[in-house]
Amino acid sequence: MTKREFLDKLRLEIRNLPYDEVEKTITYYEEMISDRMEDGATEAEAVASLGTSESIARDLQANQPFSAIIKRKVNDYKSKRSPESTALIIVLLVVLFPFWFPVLMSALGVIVSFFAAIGAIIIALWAISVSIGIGGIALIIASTFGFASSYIPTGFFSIGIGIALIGLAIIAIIGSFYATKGIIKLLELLIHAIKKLFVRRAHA
Amino acid sequence: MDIQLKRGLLEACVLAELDKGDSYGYQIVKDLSGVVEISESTLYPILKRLEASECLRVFSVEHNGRLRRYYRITETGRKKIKEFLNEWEEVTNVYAFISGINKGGQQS
Repeated sequence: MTKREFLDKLRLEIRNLPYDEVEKTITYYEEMISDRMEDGATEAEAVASLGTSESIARDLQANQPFSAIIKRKVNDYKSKRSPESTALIIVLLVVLFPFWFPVLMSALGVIVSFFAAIGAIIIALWAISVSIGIGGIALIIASTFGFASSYIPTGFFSIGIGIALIGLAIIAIIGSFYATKGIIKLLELLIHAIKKLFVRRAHA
Repeated sequence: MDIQLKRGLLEACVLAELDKGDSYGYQIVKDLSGVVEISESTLYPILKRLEASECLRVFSVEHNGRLRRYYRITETGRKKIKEFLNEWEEVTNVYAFISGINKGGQQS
């Protein structure tokens, strides 16, 4: 395959990516082929060493945001179907509405509650940490009443517990911070894995 | 090798390479191929990510009548190398621990 053929094929494969993304990618691979040829490879060797344009396109697609992938799916689908079969599918969708609608809704429900649950865990972590701290501050304030009413040991006891609670709160807040970061990272991994699943299926 | 792990390793390798001086795509692949398995296609997303996180800057230089894109490391990139090395000190400790247990198992 010549350089021109390879780049044209690649451009076609990634045509759904944003315009500047396409240009950047083509420029990059063009430079790679030229550099390899300058290094003594023939044009065919240089092109072959880059792998197939399909696999390059697949990897690039997987790094796109979710919305871009869905849009690409829809466009792919549209370009493959004839108007008649599209009409048939619309009729089927309408007729079968009572069947697929509840399934779709419950699937959406599961997804929403999944994210709500994760959000709730994060909020709970922070709430617990902050409330321990507030408890500590309250106890220190309360201790002044102890001193004022000449219950000195009670006052000291309250201050001690108050400081301990604030210390605990600081540790808990640091813990919550890392836990939040960890959960967000896990979610990113999950979303990336799901995206990969979609892209792989398209080319299978 | 685990994909996430490899990605992190490659990012650090590219930064370390650029820390020695500005370089361009094909040169980076050639220089790193002795150290780690890398191809032009695996390098591309890594360069993109490093550019997006401002670990490197891109500039074009004319070469043989065409433009070649060169990459230069930034301060953020250098910091990233340090972070990587610190993290891996921990990993090396764990590695020593794991391989130590394995040796113990063989001896007994």
